[in-house]
Amino acid sequence: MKKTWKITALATAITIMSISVLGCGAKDNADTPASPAKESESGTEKTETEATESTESTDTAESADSGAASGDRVFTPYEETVEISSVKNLGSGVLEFPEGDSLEDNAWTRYLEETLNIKLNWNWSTNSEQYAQKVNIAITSNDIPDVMQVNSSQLKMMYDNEQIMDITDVMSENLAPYTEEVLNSDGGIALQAATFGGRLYAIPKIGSPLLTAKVLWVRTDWLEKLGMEPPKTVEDMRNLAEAFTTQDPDGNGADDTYGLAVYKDLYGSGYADLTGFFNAYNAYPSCWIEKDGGVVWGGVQPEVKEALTALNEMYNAGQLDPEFGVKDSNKVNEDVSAGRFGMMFGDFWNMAWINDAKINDPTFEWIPVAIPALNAGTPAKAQLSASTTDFYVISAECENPDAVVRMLNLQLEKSYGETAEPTVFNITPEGFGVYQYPAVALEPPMKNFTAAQKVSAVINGEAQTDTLNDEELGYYEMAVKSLDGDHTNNNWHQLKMFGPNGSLSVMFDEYWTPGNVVNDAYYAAPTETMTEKLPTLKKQQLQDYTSIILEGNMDKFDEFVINWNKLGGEEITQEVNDWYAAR
Amino acid sequence: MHKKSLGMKIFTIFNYTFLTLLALTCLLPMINQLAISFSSSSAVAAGDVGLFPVDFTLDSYKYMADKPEFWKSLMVSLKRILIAVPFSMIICVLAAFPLSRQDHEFPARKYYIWMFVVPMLIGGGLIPTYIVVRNTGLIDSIWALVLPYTVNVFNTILLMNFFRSLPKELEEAAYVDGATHWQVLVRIILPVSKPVLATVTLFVIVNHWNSWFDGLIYLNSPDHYPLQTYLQTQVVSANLMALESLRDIRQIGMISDRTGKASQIFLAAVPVLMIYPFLQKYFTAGIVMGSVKG
Repeated sequence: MKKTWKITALATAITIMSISVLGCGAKDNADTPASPAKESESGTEKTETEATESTESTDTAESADSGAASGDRVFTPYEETVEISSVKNLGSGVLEFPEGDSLEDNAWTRYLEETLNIKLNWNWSTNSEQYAQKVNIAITSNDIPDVMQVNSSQLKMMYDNEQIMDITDVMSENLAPYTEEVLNSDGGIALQAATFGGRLYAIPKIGSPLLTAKVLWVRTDWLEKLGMEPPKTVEDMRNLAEAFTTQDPDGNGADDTYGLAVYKDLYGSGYADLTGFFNAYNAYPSCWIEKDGGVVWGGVQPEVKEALTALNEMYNAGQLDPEFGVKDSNKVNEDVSAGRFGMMFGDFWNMAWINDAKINDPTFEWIPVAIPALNAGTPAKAQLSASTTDFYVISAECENPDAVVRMLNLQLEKSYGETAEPTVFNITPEGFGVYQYPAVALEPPMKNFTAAQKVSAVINGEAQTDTLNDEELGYYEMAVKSLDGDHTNNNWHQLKMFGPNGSLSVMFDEYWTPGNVVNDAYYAAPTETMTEKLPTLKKQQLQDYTSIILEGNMDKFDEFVINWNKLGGEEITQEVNDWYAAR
Repeated sequence: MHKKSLGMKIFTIFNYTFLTLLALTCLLPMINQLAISFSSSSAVAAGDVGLFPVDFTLDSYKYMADKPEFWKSLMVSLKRILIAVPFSMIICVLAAFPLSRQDHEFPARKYYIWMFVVPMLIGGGLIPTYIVVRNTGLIDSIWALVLPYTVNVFNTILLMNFFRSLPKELEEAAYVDGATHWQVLVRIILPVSKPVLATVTLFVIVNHWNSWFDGLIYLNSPDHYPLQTYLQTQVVSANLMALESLRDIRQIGMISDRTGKASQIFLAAVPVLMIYPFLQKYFTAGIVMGSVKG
């Protein structure tokens, strides 16, 4: 098995060299961890290749030159057609294509063939909900396409099985500057998560950590009725919760409203999610934070105790739904839609779920505000979670790993780069999401925030619509329709995200620009003890938090911390700190 | 039956209450889904819909009517059943008939039965089964949904036990008249086995109609998914934690599309609901007689 594999690797290396000089040296480190000897070997091979390059420069002229000029890393075609197999995650709904097009034949596949001479073959495709399952089957039955999108645990599994390729060299030799810029836009955190033993094994599908920050959504029609202001401090928020509960903000004469929406798992869903509440108390219950030169688990810090005390007081005062312990976020959403809550912490998209309620009752109105500060003057810091959850891996048996990287260069360049054609490759004027068609695709993480700023500027009359690209124009048009009273088709939701003082602007202006964020301090692949014990510890944390909120027994928190450390928490913290020190 | 003791009365009352509650737990969710499918989406989002539609509308059914994926997958499911039922029935009957013979007629019968029963209890597991299906080249064809389920041991045993419970004299008379085994099976046994055949047919249909996981793993594209696999993709809510771009967030709006989901769930249940009454009269007889060990 091992031997055949090596022969294949050798054969592959030769093939790659003959097709494109750029591909060489891709495989030589694949089966051993980096070592100085190996490094120098690969160094020699590189020099050899450069020599070959000059002698063979007649028939591979174009590709040979491309090593230097970056533009050529994007557009240089292969001499012979290169076939790449992949599998497709179609997203949550049905992937729609313009008349006559399909997954096999669309704007991207045609452009890839014309421009790079790469032919894409799809082994299979399925929707997001089932995708992970099919990938698991593919991994276990060793039925792996050249390139595939996987999650972090699948990445680890494939690395352990030696099913994926070390792409350190392929990447450094083929990456276009713009692709590199996007991949490093979070300071290399995402790339770190795909690195094992100092070698890169996957291309992170980089996300925007800032999008995971929470905001506080407040019902403004209630605020006006009670003559109150949006909360700036924790004290404001507590007073408001009290007022929303006791002063009958909906004016129906019944005591049927609550201050703050909470759901049964407290944090993590992004809707009625208490992460923002904890952040207000400088507590970060679900991530690793830097403290005193080391890293600690946010969930066992004393700040959490204060937040839980506050929640218990609010629960006793009737400001939380007494039945929150059995309501999932969908259930809570029903109550929010029915007008029972005045505030909730959550993600920037939360209004999508209550857009129907807005259509029903146009006076129903919410605004996003930043997480309130514990002490006026020192703004709260928003917790950012690791946002890169998916990775593109290249099969160890892939013959043209360089082609995958080149596809990625082309995708980013034509979607968001200088020569971008968004109407062809992003969203067509008819509304087809062409951006969903490629096998490997990234997007600049801050793109949505830029869009929000541009859209807001146009709505505020500070800029003209011609400053917007087609995608932004779509958001703008929807927001304007909502301003004109047409809230259907999620128009209102778009206004609340992209419009002036929308959630994206709040996050960018209040968290990002002044640097009021707390990053998850651990961003490598999960350690062994973590995989084994952290899920249980998290469950225990949730149970204990919930019972503390319901019963108000604060000694239980200290007990929880002791148990947490005993049941593996200490061990994990040690591992995380070792990683942190060696980083 | 003339006079019931007090205890017996209490027992009966308790029994009826319990069974009614049990029936309600099955029935109420169905009625609730039906009501949701006929309600306006804002009423549903606010949680106002119980057992009766609020703001009655046919919107979700109109929307369904021009949703090609739904009809496409419905056709796949029908095709699957049309192929699977005859296949499965023929093979199961042909397996059950010899196994229903007496030991002296078919001495190795015991061992053959074990060959059937052991795999029923100890399956091959997901991955080995998947690899077999892949290596036999069935991936992405309708046969991947049909062939692996052709021999259903449970159904075969049901048939076998029913055949064994038939009076020996019937077939003995036929053999005396010079009938072959085939003639006995087709002319004598099958005509008197209608109850069990109807029952097994129903099981096969319902099994194939309801199974979704095999469609997911054996088929390469959602275009080929049978109805239940398609429904699963529609009804299971997306994992919110995995959202990495605003575009996916547009699709969150679809989660509130509960009326559409409800109408699809209901439409998918209709065919089986319609078949049941017709096979009902055979059903109880078939399953009871088939279970009696001969």
